[in-house]
Parts: sequence; structure tokens; C-alpha cells
Amino acid sequence: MASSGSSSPPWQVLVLVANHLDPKTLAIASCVSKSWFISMSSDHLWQPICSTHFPSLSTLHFADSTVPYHHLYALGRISAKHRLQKPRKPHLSLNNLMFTIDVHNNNSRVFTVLKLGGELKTDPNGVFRFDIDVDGEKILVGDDDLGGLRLAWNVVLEGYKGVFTMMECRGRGSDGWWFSEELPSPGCCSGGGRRGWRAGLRLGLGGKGESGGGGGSGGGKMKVEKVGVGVLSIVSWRYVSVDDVLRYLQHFLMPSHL
Amino acid sequence: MSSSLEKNMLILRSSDGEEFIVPEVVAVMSKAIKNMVEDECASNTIPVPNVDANILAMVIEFCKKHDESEAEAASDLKTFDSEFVNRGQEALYDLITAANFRDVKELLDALCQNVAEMIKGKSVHHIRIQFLGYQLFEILTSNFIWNIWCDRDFD
Repeated sequence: MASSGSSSPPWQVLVLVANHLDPKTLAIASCVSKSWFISMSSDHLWQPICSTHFPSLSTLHFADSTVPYHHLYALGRISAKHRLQKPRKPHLSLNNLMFTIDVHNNNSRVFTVLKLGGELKTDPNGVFRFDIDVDGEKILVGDDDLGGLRLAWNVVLEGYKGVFTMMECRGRGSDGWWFSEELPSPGCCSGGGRRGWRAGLRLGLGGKGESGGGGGSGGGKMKVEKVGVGVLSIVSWRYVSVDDVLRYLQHFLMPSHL
Repeated sequence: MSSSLEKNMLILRSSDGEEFIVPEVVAVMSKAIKNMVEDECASNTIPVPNVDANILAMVIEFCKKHDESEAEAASDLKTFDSEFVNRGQEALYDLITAANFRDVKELLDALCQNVAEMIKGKSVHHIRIQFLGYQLFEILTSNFIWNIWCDRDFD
């Protein structure tokens, strides 16, 4: 017979062998068949295991003795896992995105930067903070101009399939920084950690441009060499991680993925 | 009649009627037999029901070795044990049943550990192949949480 050599152990043997198995193997073995389940799932086996790993859960058995210990152990495992579970990797990656930064002075455009997400230099700490070089030879901002600036930072999904406005603000900012209003809540429970985010933008102003060289007074214009953008938590005043921001953007840019 | 032989030797009779002459020290490695001897309800011949001659011979071989080698190196005994338990599944199950019934703890532990090793690290599917072969079996469908847990973690 083809099956010679393999025969299911009688239940008495299974019960005896079960004493020599660890919880993981017991759980697998109890899925083999109904008779294996009966032998591998007795309270006699699982009560000590459950009390060792989940003492507080094993007391539930006293409240309702119809709940078997193996079931309590499984519940304990599942809930422990959920606690440790990290959020899923976002579907969205920086490569799918494009940043546009637009600076106007009153009604005239000072400059517009368009940067593909894939070309951004990522921060070594994995936070959502990027410095974007601006070819600033001709981009000059005078100190007097700062008051009239309008700045906009948009994140565009590749193929212009979606857009999210990170910030849109005006005024002189403070020390070269501008901040958005608090970013909108994504309106779902997973947004719990996202409250109190703001987008920040910093103009990296270099040495005075040539036109101001001679005057030396406050009217001198400065080169815009860099634009720094990032997302900060106003609770800790720290940058938020790239993955957290991508998950957030995903909600607005790829709602079908939720 | 109460010779030294009679004092130190016991006769064990298997379920199929074969008799084995065994030193008492070896026979009492079975707790069940030990209890009978201590309670003095053992006559010359001790019946060992449910255990046939084939299996009884194996059990005696194991006990003899363990009795003799008490002074021997533990590693030798380990080698013997691992060779001893290396048998077909049917013989293993019969031996486990006999060791349990006769209460021979060392043998029972060695045998059960051996079967446990055959199960460990395998998937449900592989356990079915190894232990059920082409037999029909009833799959469990009701225990929802249990199955989810197994699938998630282990399969």
C-alpha cells in the first residue's frame, strides 16, 4: 500500500506526545484534523501555557469556564501582535510625487521650482525634510520685499492625478521661515498621530547679490540659493518621518487605496 | 523453592502468551510492575495484558540497557536511546501505548520526544502527509480564531 508507514497515531498516543510540544507546534498540529485538534487543545495542556504567557487572560477562564484555555492563549497572541504592529508601508513613495514651490512678490513671480520626488535628497534620519537647490543667480530677494511675499508649496501625484497643497501663505515669516496652518486631519481613526502637523518652508538666502554690493544699505538684495521644505509636528517641533507623511498624503492623493 | 533465582527474577507473560524471564530490577522499571511486586500481589508470572511479545521484548531491551548502563557514560545511553526510538510509526505507537500503560517513564519520554521531533517545524500540510498519508480525515472548520492564528503566524 502506498500509504504504508504513515498512519495517524491513536488519540492516546497523541495526547502523550502533546505534552512534549511547544505552543506553536501544538497550534499547528491542532489544525491537522479533528481528532488531532481534540488531542492537542485540551485545557489540561493549555492551562499552564496560558497562565505562563498571559496570566491576566487565564483568569478569564474563572469568569467563564466554557472558554477554553487554548482560545484564551490565541486571543492573547493576537492582541499582543496588534500592539506591536507597525503601520503598513505606504503605497505611495517619493518617486510618485513632484514638489512645486512657487514664490511671488506682490503680483510678480519671483521663482518657481519643480522637483521630482525621486531626485530629492533624503534626510539620513528618515524625516520628511528636504533641501532643494535653486539656481539662484538671478533670483534676488530684497529685505524690503519679504513683507509682500506669497509662498505656495504643492505636492503633485505623478501624471497630475492629484494635488495636495502643503502650504499657501504670505507675509515676511520669521527668520526666513514660513509655516502653514495646521494641516487638515485625514478624518479617519488612523490619523490619530497626525494632529498638529504643519508644513514649513525656509528660504536659504545667500550673500548679497551684486546689485546691492555698492549700496551696502538695507536695500541690498540677497540670492535665493536653497529652499528647505518639511513637515513638522507642532507638539514636539520635530520633523515627521517620511513614511508617516506619505501615509498622510496617500489619504488625499490616492483615496482608492484606503 | 525460594532460591535466589526466584527472588531476583520475574516472569512476564505477554498478551499473546509468550513468557520472558527478567531480572526484578529491570522489571520494576515499570512502575506498574513495581507496585504489583511491592504489594506482593505478584505471583511468579506477571501477566502483561495489551502488550504483545514483540513489543514486550523491545520494552525489556530498553529497560535492561538502562539498568546496565546506570554507571556508563550518559552519552552512550543517549546514542542507544536515539537508535532505539528510530522505528516505524506503528511500532512507535505500540511502544508508547505499552510504556504508558506499564508506566515506564524514561521510555515514554524518549518515545514521545521522538514523535514530537517528527512534528516540530512542519506545516499542517506536511504533518498530514507524514502522519495521515492517504487516510481520510475530518478537517476542522469551526474554530475560527484558532485557524486564523495558525495561518497568520506559522503557515
